[in-house]
Amino acid sequence: MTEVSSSEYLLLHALADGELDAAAAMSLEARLAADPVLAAEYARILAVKERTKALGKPTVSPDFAARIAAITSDAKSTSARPQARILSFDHPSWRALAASVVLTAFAASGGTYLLSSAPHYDFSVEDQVANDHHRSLLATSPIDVVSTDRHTVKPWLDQKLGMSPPTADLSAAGFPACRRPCRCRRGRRCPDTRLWAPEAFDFGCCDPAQGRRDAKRRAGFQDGRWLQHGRLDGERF
Amino acid sequence: MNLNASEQSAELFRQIVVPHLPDALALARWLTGSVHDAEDVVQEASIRAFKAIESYEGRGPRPWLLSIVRNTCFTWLAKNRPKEIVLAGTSAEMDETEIGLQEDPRLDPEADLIRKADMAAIESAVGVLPRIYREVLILHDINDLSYKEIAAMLSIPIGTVMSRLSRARGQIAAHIEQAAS
Repeated sequence: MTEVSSSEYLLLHALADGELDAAAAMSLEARLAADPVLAAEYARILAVKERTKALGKPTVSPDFAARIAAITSDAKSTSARPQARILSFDHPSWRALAASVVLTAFAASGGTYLLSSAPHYDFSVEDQVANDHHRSLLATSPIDVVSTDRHTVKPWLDQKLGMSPPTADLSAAGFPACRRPCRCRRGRRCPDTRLWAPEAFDFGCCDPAQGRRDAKRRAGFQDGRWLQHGRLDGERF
Repeated sequence: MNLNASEQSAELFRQIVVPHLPDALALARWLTGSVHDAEDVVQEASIRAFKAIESYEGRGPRPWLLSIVRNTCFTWLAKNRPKEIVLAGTSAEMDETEIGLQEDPRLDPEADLIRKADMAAIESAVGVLPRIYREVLILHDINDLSYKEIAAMLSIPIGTVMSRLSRARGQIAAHIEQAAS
């Protein structure tokens, strides 16, 4: 039985509102089952939420609905299409047209340059694993959703709050831990993917200014080492 | 079926705005504090929405309409109740709220008491909330917007949405507890 911290208090609200991803929700639910103080706090939050929701929405009166409907009919009756103007060559619209042609040509040439010189990312297995892991944390369901439409961005993958999963310390059980948790990848923040061997993976820090990654495959396992200032800064198998 | 531009706008308006009028009225009612004022605000917001209907990008009609309603509310409040709009969300008010919450951050009323509280007590508790807490509470609990939608609509981080929502609920619980004692 522990005192509820302010961050836990916010997470309880997020759980009550169904805003947590599956991993964070399951973790917090397990804590709720084991901690009566936390469970009581959660019950109070649910009670307030339930009462607030009961306030409901006002009903739209027929009179008000008629006022709103009149907006479109008024606009219809007052809208008069402007008559087509005869444009002379020295009319400002011709100058605007010429300017737009120049701008379009500039944009097209710039776009071609960018397309031809843009860096091409080679998505490796590590990238795919990290992306899959990140997506799984944001999913509403702990199981995969079978889909044949693989190129569509699924809205349910972007509805929940991304939370880093809790990391269990398995070093006492003989599993070596990596020294540097994965905090960023190609300049993007990502959840802490620090896990323990042998199923672990870790991509270290991607910032060349902070360290250099030297990873290779060995017997089917990813062998990664990170050097900083000439000394070994992290090792992962 | 060929529709001219005016008819297309009217059809879009009927599809995008009209179904969400109860949400718009709920938000305006709690921001203005009056059902009658809310109707005036929503009517003005509907006119603005109709004029801007072509700019709707299809990313959810409800947040789009509620953004217009919220902006219209502030314009209306600035015109009709300038003192209230100046006082809402000032640093002094925020400090006062912060101090109150720091003394008892979780405001620990009994869940049963809250459940038994009548509607008038809840309405009173919501009505006295600072505006910045009240709008987040209404947008989430009444209008059913997600944290992300509220954050995007108010241009604030999700963490701020979470803290405002939790403080709003904490103050409601404290209000009910005070009323009962």
